[in-house]
Amino acid sequence: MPRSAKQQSLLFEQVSSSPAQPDTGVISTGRPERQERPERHEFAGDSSRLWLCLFFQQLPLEVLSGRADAPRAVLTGRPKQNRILVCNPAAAHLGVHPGMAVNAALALAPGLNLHDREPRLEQTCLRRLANRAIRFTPVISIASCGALLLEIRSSLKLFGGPQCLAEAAVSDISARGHRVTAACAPTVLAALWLARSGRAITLLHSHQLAKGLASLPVSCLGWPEKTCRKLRRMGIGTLGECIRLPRDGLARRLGPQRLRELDQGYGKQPEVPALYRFPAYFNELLDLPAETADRGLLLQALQVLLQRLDTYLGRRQAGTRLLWVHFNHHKQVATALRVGLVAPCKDVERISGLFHIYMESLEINFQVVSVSLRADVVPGCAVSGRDLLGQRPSGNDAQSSGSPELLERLRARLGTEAVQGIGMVAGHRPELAWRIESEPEKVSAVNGVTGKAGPHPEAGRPLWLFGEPLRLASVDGEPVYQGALQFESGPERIETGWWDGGEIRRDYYIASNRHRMRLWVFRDHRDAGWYLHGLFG
Amino acid sequence: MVCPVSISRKDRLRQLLKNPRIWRAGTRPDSPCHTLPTGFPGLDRVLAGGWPTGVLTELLVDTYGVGELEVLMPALGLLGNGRNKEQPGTGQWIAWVSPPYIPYAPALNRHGVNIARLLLLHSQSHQDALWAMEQSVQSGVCAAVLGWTPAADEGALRRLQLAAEEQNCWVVVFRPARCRHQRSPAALRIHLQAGQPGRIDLGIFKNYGGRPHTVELKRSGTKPNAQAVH
Repeated sequence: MPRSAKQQSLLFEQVSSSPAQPDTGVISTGRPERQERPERHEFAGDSSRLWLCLFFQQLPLEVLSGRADAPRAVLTGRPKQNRILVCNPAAAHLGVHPGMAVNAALALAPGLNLHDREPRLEQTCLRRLANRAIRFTPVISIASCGALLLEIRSSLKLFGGPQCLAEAAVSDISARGHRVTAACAPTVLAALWLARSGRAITLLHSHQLAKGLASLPVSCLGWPEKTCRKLRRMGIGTLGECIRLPRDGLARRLGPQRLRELDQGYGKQPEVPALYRFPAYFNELLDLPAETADRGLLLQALQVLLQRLDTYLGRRQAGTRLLWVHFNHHKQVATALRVGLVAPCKDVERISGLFHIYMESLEINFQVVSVSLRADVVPGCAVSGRDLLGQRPSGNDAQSSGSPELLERLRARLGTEAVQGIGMVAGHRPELAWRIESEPEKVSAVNGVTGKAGPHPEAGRPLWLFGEPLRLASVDGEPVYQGALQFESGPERIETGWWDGGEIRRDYYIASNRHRMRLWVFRDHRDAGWYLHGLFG
Repeated sequence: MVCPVSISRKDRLRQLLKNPRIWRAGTRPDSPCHTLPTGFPGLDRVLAGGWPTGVLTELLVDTYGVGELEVLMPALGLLGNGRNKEQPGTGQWIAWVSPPYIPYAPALNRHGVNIARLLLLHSQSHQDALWAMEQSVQSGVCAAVLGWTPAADEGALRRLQLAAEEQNCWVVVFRPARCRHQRSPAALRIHLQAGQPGRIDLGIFKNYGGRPHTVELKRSGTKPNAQAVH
């Protein structure tokens, strides 16, 4: 039975009317699991925490594909006494209910589709939901029974109170097609019990726990059916009755573990929820409905994955710097694509544009069955790339941010090596007085102006240099390049370099030919040949 | 259709001249182009201030090594030079798209070009070169884009022209002299040749808002001196 709205609002009024609530024995700092407390009975819960439990009752059924209108059920999977774990509304309409024996259910509903439980799929689904729920809080715990626990005390102000937050979380999860019940309590177990009972109750403080939990049935504790039956035979139906039993007797009958669970739920003992660690990578796989090698369709699939990445990065408030795409083939090595970005970025449109360029030159030789996208997550990338009205920034902002974008696009189409900068090296040999900067964006913008000019800063260096000196033909010992050469100046002797094996001994001249091209030629003293090394462009 | 008698022939001519597609030599177009000083006073005079930015400039050359880069050096030295924040193009790239040889860093540095902002783009095909030019111009982060694209057709040049207009970028396309008789949307077309020894002849045969001219520049790295020959 859900508590009435009036009762709930009363509860809130109580809290808001007495802001300086004296919480006796409350630990307000630190995590309970790190505290060593010998007097266990004095522990009165950690009121600094508030857990929102999102319980997915139908999760075993929801992770399996199938028609919604046909009666379906998932089995508990126990070998001897296989029973119904959950069933969908269509099956419930025919009289099937959880806990029913398989044969009884089949007798009621002959067309019932029975499925085995898929715990692996359930865990994957819970992790994906946890990644979604980071919007509300970064402290999340996954309960293996099919629930998410969100620590929301610190997020209450932002979302306008526990009820608003719970509503937002429920609608966010419902939009993904999950049936969910939510409940709030200061302890993990109490929140889980409340959610499992289906009562949307919000308990804000640990002193409300005893009253709020008293009417819950023992079945919502999640204990084995045998234990629950034992309790029912003892005449115990609710949690309130259970907690009134003598402690030592309860421990002897049900085991000390059960007593500890009750204590933890009531906030009398610290609990240690295993917190969910967010992955360092975004990793998603999309199965294609049919095998294809069509670039347009593959780009569409990529777009779907990129949308998920966008949502993911938005929630994590992170950017990405490296992306890997794998086009998986049947019985073939996957076609891989690696896209690197100059700086961490969360602008998926920009990444999408890059993918378009990369895909143009990518060869896909086999039919693709699925596409996977993996992206590293760089936290703290807060630049959204858009202003308040969803417009891209223009003017000077675009100029400062457009530079990496241009280089990325150019590298995507022309290749990484095709985009270069140049720099100077202090050296006397002409071919060693400059170098290729493979990452021009990392060169300081003012460096080039004040750069060292080498030992020969005077004129007489051509603007065009040949990668390899061009051997000139000679007529009567005189060099010829598109006609006879006339020497304007020279020689300039450039020699030595024995320390690195690049020894030279050349006499450089500036010459011109009949086309009045100005050439930088040299005579190599080692082979007495004439070479053209550059043009005065 | 018969025109009313009141509209005289002169009026009709004036009306015709209002067509934005018609421009008369000697009168400036309505939208003044921005210019970049060439560093050669004679050339500045003929080009009405300097190299026009926001439009396409076409340099037609018979062969390389006749001073085709030297002509651009003073203007390139002004651009992207981090020394003065007020200067145009500070911190912006100067893209060289598929140059025929290696731009030699020490010589460029000697001409005052900020080589740290120089971007060399090599391409396998003419399409890639044109694409890279267009991307560089469109990005708005390049103060100047120089491209060596012999196979550029009119459509490709028009796209470049539009992109240049949008970003007010200085775009120079180097093409062989045989392209002189092809149609081109470039606002400034110059046939560059080696003149007398130590001279460069610039045959300006299309000059938007100006008259065709021949300008002779002195080849020198240190003291540029120009004489306009009419």
